[in-house]
Amino acid sequence: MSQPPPHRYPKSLASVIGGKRVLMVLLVVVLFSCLYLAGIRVSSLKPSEYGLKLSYEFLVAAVQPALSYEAGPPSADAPPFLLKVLTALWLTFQYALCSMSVALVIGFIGGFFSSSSWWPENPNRPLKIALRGFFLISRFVVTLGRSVHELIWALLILTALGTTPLAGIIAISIPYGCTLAKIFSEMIDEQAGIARETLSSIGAKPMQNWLFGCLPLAFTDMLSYTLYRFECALRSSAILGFVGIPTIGYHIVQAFEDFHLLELWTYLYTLLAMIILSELWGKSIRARFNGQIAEKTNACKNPSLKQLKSQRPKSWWLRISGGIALATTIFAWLNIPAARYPLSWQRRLSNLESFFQQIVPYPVQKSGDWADAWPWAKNLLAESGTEAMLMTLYIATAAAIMAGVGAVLSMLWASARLNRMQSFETYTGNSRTELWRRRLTRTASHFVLLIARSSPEYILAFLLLQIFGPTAWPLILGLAIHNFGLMGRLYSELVDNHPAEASKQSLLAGGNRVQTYFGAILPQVFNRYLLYFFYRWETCVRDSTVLGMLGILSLGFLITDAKTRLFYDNLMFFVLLGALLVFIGDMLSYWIRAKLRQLDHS
Amino acid sequence: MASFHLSNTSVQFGQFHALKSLHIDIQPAERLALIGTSGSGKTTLLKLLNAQITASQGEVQILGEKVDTLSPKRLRQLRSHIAFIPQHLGLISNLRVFQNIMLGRVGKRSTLGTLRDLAMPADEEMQKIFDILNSLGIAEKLYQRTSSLSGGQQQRVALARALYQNPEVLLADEPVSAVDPARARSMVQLLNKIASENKLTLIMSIHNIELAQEFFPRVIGLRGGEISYDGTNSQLDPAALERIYKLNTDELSQ
Repeated sequence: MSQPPPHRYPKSLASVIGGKRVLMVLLVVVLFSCLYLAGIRVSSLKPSEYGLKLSYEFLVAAVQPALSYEAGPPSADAPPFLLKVLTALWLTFQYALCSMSVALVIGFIGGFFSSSSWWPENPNRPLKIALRGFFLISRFVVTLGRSVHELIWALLILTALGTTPLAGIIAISIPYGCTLAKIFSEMIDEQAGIARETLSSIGAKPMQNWLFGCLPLAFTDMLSYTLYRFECALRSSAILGFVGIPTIGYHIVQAFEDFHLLELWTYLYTLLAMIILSELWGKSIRARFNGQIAEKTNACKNPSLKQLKSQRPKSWWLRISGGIALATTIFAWLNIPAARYPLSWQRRLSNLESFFQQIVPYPVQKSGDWADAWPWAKNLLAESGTEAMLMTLYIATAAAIMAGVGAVLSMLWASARLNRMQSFETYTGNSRTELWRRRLTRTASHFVLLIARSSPEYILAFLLLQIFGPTAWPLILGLAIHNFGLMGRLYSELVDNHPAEASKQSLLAGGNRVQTYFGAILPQVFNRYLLYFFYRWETCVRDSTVLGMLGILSLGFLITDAKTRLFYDNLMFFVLLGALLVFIGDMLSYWIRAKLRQLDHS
Repeated sequence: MASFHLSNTSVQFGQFHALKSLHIDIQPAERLALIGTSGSGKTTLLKLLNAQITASQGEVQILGEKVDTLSPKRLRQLRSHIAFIPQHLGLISNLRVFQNIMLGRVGKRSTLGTLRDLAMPADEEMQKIFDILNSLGIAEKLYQRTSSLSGGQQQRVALARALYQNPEVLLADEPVSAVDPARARSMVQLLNKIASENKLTLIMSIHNIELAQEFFPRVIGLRGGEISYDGTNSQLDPAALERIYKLNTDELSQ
């Protein structure tokens, strides 16, 4: 009798992480471990008496946002309140627009040098070395640029150059430009194979291959990502107010400090409205590029060239949008407000020089020997650096898991395909009540997800901190709510676009919505869920480095503390420590996502 | 001067012999079908004839030039005379139909010139493209986004791009493998008609034996990287087909 073949265990991530149920349990264990290690107890998640009173007043104020100054105009020459709100809103928009225009230039240039699809097919050795050199330098700069949060860039620039309206623009442009460069290069390189085969076979030069083959194929994805980054830039621009740049975040803090809750809600509503409108605008542009909105086709029989030319598909919406975007960007650049306390360039240069001298570790400044930097660094790490770094990591991980679990469950109500009477092309009965219930559930879930993702995590954390007091909970919750909204959107796209067969079978076999989701949909999309989870976890690590600036011990707290005490060497050390943490998070997430992609394709 | 001359030519990828000691001469304006099982070397041979890959051994002459002595610039010039329709057509889906066709001349134009062609095409070039599309029956698709076209229409766009290139040779790698029999027949017929009218050398790999026999005066059968049959379509008898297609047990288990 022949022996059965030996069972081969797959040498993949699946074998390490086990089944999906094991992984879910593991994530919950990690969540509680993070909370325990960070010293955060569930019992501390209750508002103080003052917090409860504040929450009540805060919620009551939500239904009556201010249309004029709550306590009368602060001075005789103060502008009308609504004009003040609109000015703050415009400034937030202006910073986001100017930043994105610079970030796009950085993204294109950085993306070009960080991609390899424009290289000649068989370069000679010296050229190959030069190209690889460019590639590595570009990747390093891009990684460093995006590892530092825009709020920290703003802090560094304000410290180094003094108050300047350009600080906000530069602060957002650097990390956003570097992020665009990374994503652009990946999107372009993904298309390299097809374009090379097509155009090089008919004599195209490598640069022509890149320009006419790779770039057009990647264009829709690049545009889509740029529009998404613009929404993020609006949020980032708003929170720049927390470091003194007078965008809407600045007025939110002011209104809170003055206890003008009605005014606070006016600012919050206008900010949310701007972000939601920009998301809807982005969605309409994307729909026209990826074919969701079909172009008008020519209806004549045997048309002439002239007829075809005059009737060629034109999207007035795209043309008007493009024209307005360009005109507004030029207007925004031409009307950058002057600094309230303008400094001369000589003064700024001398500030910069002094800043560069002071970021050198203090013992090295004295002795001139870089060997003295090591004990200094070790001491900073032992005193508070390691603890703050771990705290940052715990906050990010706990928030990402809470957001992920929430998003997975929310699909039961948010998935459009699961909440229709004709679910997954399958008739599920005829009931007017049920029809409206499903419509309502779907719309309400989408609204909750939209509000959650449109709310900047920093502002959420700031408001929650006033309610729950100085624990890490507000930071975790702020980050979790925002990421819940983002993951919910990504997950609902996955659920609504996955092949319908298995879900259809489940419904045909009499399964209900919950059974269909957990039995047929979840197993199919689980790897992709994890892929997005780790992508968001990476972003959470980056964001949690700055949340400490609100006053809870983590890296952001140490950075603000060092700045207040004018210890610029310590400031730089903690900034670099944060960048290192983000870099490690990036690498880990990159590795796990690569493994998950392999699993997804296998 | 032959369009292609292969003498004792082999192609090897690592330990795998994709093509073994081929001797082939293909004359200008010849119409030739390449047949054989999957993995028999048809695509590799087409890539070799397009100078996308080089021979590990032997000589390859394309349009009278020895491939292994060409500079990158001369190689690109040579390729600009050879149109290649890959199996998946290789169209840039986001571009308009006329832009995809314009790219047929990318090897003959400068980068800036191509950029101008795509953004602000000259009237006379648009007229040429319109005429080509008209002859293929899809003139009304001129300004459509390529991704919005059906599979059959996209095949015609790929063919239009090849014709706009104004080549001496047309290489096509299984262009009808994914379409229904009626469309496959009409496409092969069209390609042959265009090749005879324009005196193009046409080399096409194809799985459909009936179409190969009906439309191509010369047929080359490949098996395991070797020529198993090289002759006229009329001489391609069942015995020859069995030699080309009969699978042994090892091949079946793959």
